[in-house]
Amino acid sequence: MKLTSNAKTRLSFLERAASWIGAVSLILVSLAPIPALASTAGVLDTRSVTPSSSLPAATGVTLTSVFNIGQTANVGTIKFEICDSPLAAVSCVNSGNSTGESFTSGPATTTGCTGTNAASFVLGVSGQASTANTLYMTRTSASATAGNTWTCTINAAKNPTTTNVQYYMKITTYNEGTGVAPTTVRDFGGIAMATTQQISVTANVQENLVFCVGTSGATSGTPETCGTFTGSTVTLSPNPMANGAASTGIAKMTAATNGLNGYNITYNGSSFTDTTADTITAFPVGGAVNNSATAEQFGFNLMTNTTPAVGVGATGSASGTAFGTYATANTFSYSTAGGVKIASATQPTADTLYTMAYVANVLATTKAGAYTATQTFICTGNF
Amino acid sequence: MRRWNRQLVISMALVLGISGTASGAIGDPSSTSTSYRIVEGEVGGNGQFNSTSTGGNFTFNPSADDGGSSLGENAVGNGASTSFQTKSGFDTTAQPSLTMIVNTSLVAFGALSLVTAKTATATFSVKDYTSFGYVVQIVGSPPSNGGHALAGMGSQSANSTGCSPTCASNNGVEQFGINLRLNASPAAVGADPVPIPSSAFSLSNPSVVIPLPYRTADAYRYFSGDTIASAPSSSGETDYTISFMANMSSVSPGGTYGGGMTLVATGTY
Repeated sequence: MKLTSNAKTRLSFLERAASWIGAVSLILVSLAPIPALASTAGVLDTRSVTPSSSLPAATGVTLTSVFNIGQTANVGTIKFEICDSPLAAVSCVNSGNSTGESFTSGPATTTGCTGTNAASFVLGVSGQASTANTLYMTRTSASATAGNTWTCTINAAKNPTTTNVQYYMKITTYNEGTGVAPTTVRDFGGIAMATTQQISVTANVQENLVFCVGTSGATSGTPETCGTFTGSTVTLSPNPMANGAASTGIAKMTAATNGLNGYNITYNGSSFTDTTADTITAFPVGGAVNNSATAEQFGFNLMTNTTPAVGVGATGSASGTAFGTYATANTFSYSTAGGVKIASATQPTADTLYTMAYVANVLATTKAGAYTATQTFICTGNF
Repeated sequence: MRRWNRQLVISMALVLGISGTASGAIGDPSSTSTSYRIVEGEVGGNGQFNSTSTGGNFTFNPSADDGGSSLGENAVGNGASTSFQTKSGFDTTAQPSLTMIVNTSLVAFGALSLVTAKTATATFSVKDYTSFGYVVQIVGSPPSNGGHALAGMGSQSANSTGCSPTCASNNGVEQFGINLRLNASPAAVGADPVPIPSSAFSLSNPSVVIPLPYRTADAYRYFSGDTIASAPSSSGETDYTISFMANMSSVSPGGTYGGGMTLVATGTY
């Protein structure tokens, strides 16, 4: 085609116009907002997740997530993912540090979310049911305002299995609510978490049992110093014994232990006899003193008595106490059966100072002689 | 005509080219406004050890995780307000990071004594990036034996301060407590937080990173769930030492005491 000079002039005008259009377009486009990156997703800021346990493979873990809503919009679904990467553009997989995590092993549950506009979220079902690495909370889509602080709780999750590694939770909010596939992202945030090994703390406390018996030297200290205890013979007074008036005497013993279940004190006793095997009859169990000179009596208790006036009850701030018939004032007992329990504690206890109050009565017909009874006291710690 | 076409094609190509840039992938949780977003699409930064690009085309593998020193620099500046913060440097990474390493698995006191307090230590390290800080909580009961736990020291409510009767070691009184300081009493034990590689990159001032109940040297406390370490912003590695202290009483049940404690680190991003 042959062009005339006028035609060329028009084309030159068109060319210049096209150049200007192109240049202006470039400027306009350069100044225009970038649509895709600005598209929809806001940022969940000031976000955190606190696990109740950081132990690898721990089960029953509660994950408490706190975040601020990024942009004002309706929110119907919150997706929680445990992943190897916190980045939105990276698919959530569990082949690395997050291996072993699970929302389904429990399975995980939720108590929903708290905070302004955070009500009514429940565990997703059907198409929004939990998978190993994804848990949905859903509700009927409702408004959320930028800056609202929400706290959402997931229970019974399982931690990744590797120790001392970091892994990630990704939280995404969607417009769509219960029963609708979540597609419209509102906000997103990634959070780093870490597993750690457990610190085991051990200590040993040596078992101890303090038990001392003597006729004098007790200090009533805590702990009692057994080294101060002296004497092993109690001579009843008045001596010699006389018909119509009880003879009495005392001895002391103290006990303490750190046994978890305390201690028991028992005794093995021989008859109150003289060298020719004459025996002063033992008290019946829990018998009272008979000063009417109608019976022989021999026994003891661990109490403060008035009839006769002898002995003192257990002292000290500890929890040891006299036991059974040996714990009743003014009644006395004695047995040669062996292993007779007279005091005990049911827990670790500091020193308890006991006083054995001995009483003997004789008849006018009781044979003369030197009467002796021997008791061996045994304290058994229950650890 | 060809020139006109050429100009038109170039113009459109430039327009499309810019439009294409604008429609890049939605991705990382980075600085964002309603109109613009800054996304890091690079392989990674010094804060991201052994990082690899998504497609596997690029890797960034320093020979040691030295915080970037081997790469020539490891300084990433932090500017922050109560609501925002930025990281500036040659190689910042978009990836939030929380590294929590517990270096000690067993703390053994041995046999407790009525006259001498027993002490022991454990260490852990925390490194946190792109965050508004972190907290480290200790969770677990004091060592126990047959249902009896050593008495935790201090007022027994979360993060409370003060002790009754005392936060100090008291021989003959059953006590179990910890702190995160260098102590002189009841023995030389523990260490103050150590910044790695230096305080230029990592927080370590005890007044900043140790909550008050666990900050006072020679004073001890234990309460499960307490925060024992924290930082108000991102920090490079900080190495902490937990000092454990225990005393027994004459009625502390005999036997072997044991217990497990876990440290839970939570970063806020």
